[in-house]
Amino acid sequence: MADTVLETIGLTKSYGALKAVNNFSIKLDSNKIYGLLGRNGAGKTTFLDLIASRIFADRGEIKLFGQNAVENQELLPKLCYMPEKNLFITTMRVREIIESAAGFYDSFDRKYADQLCIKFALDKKKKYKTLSRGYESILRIVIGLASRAAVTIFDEPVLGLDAAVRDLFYRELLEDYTANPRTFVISTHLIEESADIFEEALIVKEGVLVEHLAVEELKEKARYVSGKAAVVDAAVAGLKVIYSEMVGSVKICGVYEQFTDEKLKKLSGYEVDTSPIPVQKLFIYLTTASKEGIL
Amino acid sequence: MNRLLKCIQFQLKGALQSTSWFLGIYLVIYLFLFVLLQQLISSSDNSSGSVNSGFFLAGAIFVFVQVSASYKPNFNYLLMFGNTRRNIFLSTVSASAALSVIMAVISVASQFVDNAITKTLSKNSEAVYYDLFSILYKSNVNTFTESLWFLAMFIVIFSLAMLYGAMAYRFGKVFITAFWVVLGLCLTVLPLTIPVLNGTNVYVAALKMYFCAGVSGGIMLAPVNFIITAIIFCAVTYVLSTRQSQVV
Amino acid sequence: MKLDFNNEKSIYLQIAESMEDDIIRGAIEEETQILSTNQMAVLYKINPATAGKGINILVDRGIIYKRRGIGMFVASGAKKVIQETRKTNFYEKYVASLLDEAKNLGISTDELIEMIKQGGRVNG
Repeated sequence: MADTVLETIGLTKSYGALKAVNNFSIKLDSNKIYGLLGRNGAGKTTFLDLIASRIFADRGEIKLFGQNAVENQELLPKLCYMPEKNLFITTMRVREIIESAAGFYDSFDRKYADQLCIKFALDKKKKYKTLSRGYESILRIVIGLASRAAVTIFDEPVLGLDAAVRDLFYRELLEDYTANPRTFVISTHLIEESADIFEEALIVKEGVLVEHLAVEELKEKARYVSGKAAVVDAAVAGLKVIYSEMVGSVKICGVYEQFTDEKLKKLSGYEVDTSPIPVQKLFIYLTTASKEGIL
Repeated sequence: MNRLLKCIQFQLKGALQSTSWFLGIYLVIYLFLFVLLQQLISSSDNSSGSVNSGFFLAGAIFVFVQVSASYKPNFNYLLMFGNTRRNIFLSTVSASAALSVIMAVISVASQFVDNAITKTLSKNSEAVYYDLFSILYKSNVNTFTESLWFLAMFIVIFSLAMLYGAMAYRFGKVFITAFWVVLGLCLTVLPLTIPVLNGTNVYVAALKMYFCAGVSGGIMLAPVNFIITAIIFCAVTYVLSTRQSQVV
Repeated sequence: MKLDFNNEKSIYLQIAESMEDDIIRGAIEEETQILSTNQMAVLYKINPATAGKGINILVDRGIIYKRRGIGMFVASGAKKVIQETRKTNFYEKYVASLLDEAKNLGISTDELIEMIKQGGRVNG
């Protein structure tokens, strides 16, 4: 039975009339890799900023290891949150930044950090302001991984990285995760390549947590149903339809439903084709704002 | 406590690096001017007057710029590494206080240097070195009181710089524009418009009171004013920063 | 063992199937050790829990067993177990749809048997 490392209850943050984070309640377990998924502006970064005490909530509680986490100096060092933004001192050298970071996390592994710098070809002598965008991301990856913090959070960790380096990151993440289990939360919009790394997915839409479940379950709940329009409509009656499209005279519906044996049997009784929905598409359907035209 | 020390260590390192640069550049300019001065003196028949390196003024400007400019980057950096706003605030005050001590010591030292240079450069051996204190205060002027005065002065400057940094962080360009406009007004228009009272300009009179100029033992009273001002500035800064959301 | 991420089938099911394929083909011998779920995770860039889920299917079927402190091994008789299970599913998976398609194309059962015999000769 996993412990709860992070819990939020009714977390809400508004900017004017816009509810950036709306009544977010969630429990994250120890030793799991979570994917925080959502469109741009969905509220992922705001949520992460809130739990790391970078901004303050209007309402709600944030608990780390069961205790109130807000401005809690004892707990904050157990959480490493590498943001998407560049907040390092531009005149510092990479090795100085790493040394500085090592001082702020008790669990930091300097040797591992050095190994990572070699693996990712990050020159420690360089000044931060001379780093390209890709290497800025790599530095955040190095610090995030080497911190070995019990809760490690990355916001868009692979920005500006080419496919080979992204691949290296995912492998390195899995390797260190298996050797030193801890909780990871990775916020990304690159669903396709990273979905299989996650154990559970947290899907955010317009500030609301719309889904929290295992990635495998997510895939199994999603199906395309296609065929003649009238038949398809009958087949999907009573099921949750998240997508609909007409291709000529064929109607394709995306269905998102917990398929019991009964439901599956009923569906197979109709003359329709079913196929799984690719994760990338599923994500789009689940996170599309109501006013955008997909349904 | 350990955490606070780590924050102080970080802030101090940055401050000392900047200070080294400042001192280095200052020294280069000073030496250059010194050599220039020597040439000028040797080419004229007699000379008397005093050399004032103006270190205190340069240092005051440096401290203000250093503390106000580093406020935002340091706040964001330390916040990113999981430090509470309370620790960030306390470490900024501590590091700036340490900086003030260093600057005060050098300011006092520079007066000795100025004095010595005045004497050696002057062909007229009765040259007198006029420093800041000789203008403001009549009595109790000695190294000890001067040091305290300098220290208190740097303290109020850094506290003002912190307040400026915190306000700029929260209110951005609006505050910055307003600050410099108001400062400009205070230095130019205001002194001209404030009425004259009993033969003295009210503005000048107010300043005189704040600096306790011309008052017996004034050099020891002024630092009290400075420290009180500093405490007020720091308190406002603390209130501003304690619930400050991160601004990128 | 190969995983196809674009495939419709769940990753953990692919892992189970792939491992069974390897065992049947003899690529992995009985009573030999297989990769740990952690090793699999890193190798295939998947979450260890997913790898674990796939392996657990095989453990439940008695194809893989765990030796505490050492690792996971292919059980003796695993090959036979897999073959039996697949034989049972063979009809559903291949024969039924074969008959279906033949019917659509108007191929008689005798013609079908002839085709199979011919294929058998080619394949050996």
